[in-house]
Amino acid sequence: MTAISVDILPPTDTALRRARRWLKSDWRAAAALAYLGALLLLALLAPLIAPYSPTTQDINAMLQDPSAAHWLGTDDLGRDTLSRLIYGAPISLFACLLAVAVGLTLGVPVGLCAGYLGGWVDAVVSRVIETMMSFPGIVLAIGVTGALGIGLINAMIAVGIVFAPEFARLTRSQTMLVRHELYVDAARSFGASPARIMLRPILPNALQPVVVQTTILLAIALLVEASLSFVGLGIQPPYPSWGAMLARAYANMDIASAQMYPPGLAILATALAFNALGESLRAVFDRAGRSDAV
Amino acid sequence: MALYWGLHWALKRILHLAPVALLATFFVFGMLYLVPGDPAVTLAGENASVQHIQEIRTLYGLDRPIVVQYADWLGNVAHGNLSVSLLSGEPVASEIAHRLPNTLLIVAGALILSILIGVPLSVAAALRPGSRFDHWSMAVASTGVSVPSFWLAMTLVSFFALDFHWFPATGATALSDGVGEALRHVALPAVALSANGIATIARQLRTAFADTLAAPYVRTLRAKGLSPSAILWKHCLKNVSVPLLTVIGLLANRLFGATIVIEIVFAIPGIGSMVVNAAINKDFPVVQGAVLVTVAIVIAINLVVDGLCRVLDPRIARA
Repeated sequence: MTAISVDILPPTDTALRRARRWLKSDWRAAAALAYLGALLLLALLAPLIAPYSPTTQDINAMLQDPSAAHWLGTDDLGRDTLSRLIYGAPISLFACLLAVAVGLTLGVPVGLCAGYLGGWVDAVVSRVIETMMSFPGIVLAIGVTGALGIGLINAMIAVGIVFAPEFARLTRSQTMLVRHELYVDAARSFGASPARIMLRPILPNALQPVVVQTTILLAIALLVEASLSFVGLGIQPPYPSWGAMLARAYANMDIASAQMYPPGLAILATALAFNALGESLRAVFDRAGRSDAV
Repeated sequence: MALYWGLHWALKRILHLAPVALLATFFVFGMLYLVPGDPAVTLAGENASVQHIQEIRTLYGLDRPIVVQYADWLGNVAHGNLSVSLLSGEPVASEIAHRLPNTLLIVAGALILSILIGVPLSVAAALRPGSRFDHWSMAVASTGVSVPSFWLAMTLVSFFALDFHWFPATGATALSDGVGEALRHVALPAVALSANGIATIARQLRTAFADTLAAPYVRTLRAKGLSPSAILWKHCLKNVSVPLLTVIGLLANRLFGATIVIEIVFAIPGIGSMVVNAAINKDFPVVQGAVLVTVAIVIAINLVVDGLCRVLDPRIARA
C-alpha cells in the first residue's frame, strides 16, 4: 500500500499567482508589460531624468547630430531631442489614457443599459452605435476637435467620443450573453433593482472583452494622438508630444532626417507593447472561457 | 426569381441603412452645435461686428428652430449643395469634386497593394502553421498594425524621394494628365498607407485560412489525395472570400481615416488635407461637407461588400 497522495486539493489560485503564470508562459506579454512599466516610470520621473528642459531653445545648437552633449541631437530650435522625447512620454501617455477613459465612461454604461433593458432602448442605441462606427475614426475626431477647439485635451475628448460606440457595442453584446445566467436570475429573485443587477453581477462578468479592447484602443489612441498633433490639431507649441516632435522633424526633413527616428520609434514601440498586451490578454481570456465551459 | 430576391434584399438593406444614413447626416449637421457658444459667432469669427454676426445669422438661417435648419440643410445636401466655404467663398461641393479623385486614387492604390501582398502572405503562413515563416510573418504583421503610417510615409520620402529621387516627394497628378506620372505620385503615399492594410489582411485571413484548413471537408479532400495547394486554391479560397470582403469593408473605413495625415505629409490636395485645414481655420461648412462625403463613401462601400458577401456565400442569404 502506497501513501495516499495528499495534494488532491489544488493550491489556492490567487490573482497574483495566475498573473505570474500568465507572464511566464508568454514572454511577449511580459516584455510588453516591462516596457510599459519602465515607460510609466520614465514619464513620472521625467523632470529628474531628462538632461535638459524640453522647451529651452539654444540658437547655437540647432539641428545638431547626436553628440555627447545631446545624445539624440537637437531640433530646429536647438532643443534637446532626448529631453523632449522623455517629456513627451507623460504627455502622450496621458493623452491615450484620457481618450480611453472618455470612451469607457460614455460607452460602457450605454452598452450595459442597451444590453440589459433590450427593447426600444437597445434598438435606438444600436442604430446610434452603427452610425458612429460608419464614420472613419480620425475624420470624426478631426471634425469634433475642430468644433470643440484645437488642443490636446479637446482632441483626446474627441477621440474618446469616437471610441465610445466601440465600448458600447462590446459591453452590449457581452451583457446580452450574461443577462440570462443563473446568478442574474438569482439576484432578480431577491428583488435587486435593475441598476443594482447591472452593476453587481453583470458588469464584472461582462468586462473581460472590454479590458482587451481597452489595451488595443490605447495603442490606437497613441497613433491618433500622434496624427492629430502632427497636423496641428493636438498639442500646441512649445510642449512636446511624440506626434508634435514628428511635425518639427518633418519640417526639417531635408536637412536633418535623423530627427524623425526617435519619436517615430517611440510611438512604434509603445503601440506594439499595447497591442502585444491586448492580444495576449485575449488569448488568456479565451482559454479561461473555454475551460469554464467544460 | 434570383433577380427578384436580389432586389428584395437590396431594398431591405437600403431600408435598414436609411436610419443610419439619416442619423449620420444629423451628426454631421450637429457638429456645428458642439461648438461652445453661438454658432453665428463661430461662423462669423471672434472679432466680427454685431452687424456681420446678424448677417451671418440670417444668411445661414441660424435664427430658425434647429429642426427647420436641419431639414433645410438636408434638402440642400440632397440637391448636392454643400453650402460655401467661409474662407474662400467657393461652393464646398465643387471643391470636394475637385479633390476627391486624388484621395480615391491613394486609397484605391493602398487597398490593391494590401490585397496583392496580404492575401499571399496569409496563405503562405496558414499552409505551414507554427513554422518559422508563420511566426515571423505574423510578427511583422503585428508591427504593421502598430506603425504610425505617416511616420512610415516620412521615412519613405526621406529615402526614395530626397535621397534617391526615384519618386516625387510631394503633390499629385490626375490620371487624366498621364497615367505614368499619376502612378509615380501615388506610389509612396499608397505604400505608406498599405502597411496597415497588408498587416490587417494577413492577420485576419491567416486565422480564416487556418480555420478552413481544419474543417472536416478539407480532411476528406486530403484523404482523396488532393495536394494541399490544390485544396487551398480550389476549395478554401472560396470559403475565405467572405472574411476577405469583410476585412476590405473595414479597411475602407480605416484607409479613409489614415489618408488624411498621409495627404498632409505628401502635400496632396485631397479630402483629408481639406478637412484638416478647415478644422484648424474653423471653416465649418467645409468640415461638414468633407466628413459627409467621406462617410457616404464608406457606407456605400460597405453596402456593396454586404451584397457581394451574399452572392458569394448563399448561407448568409438563408440565415
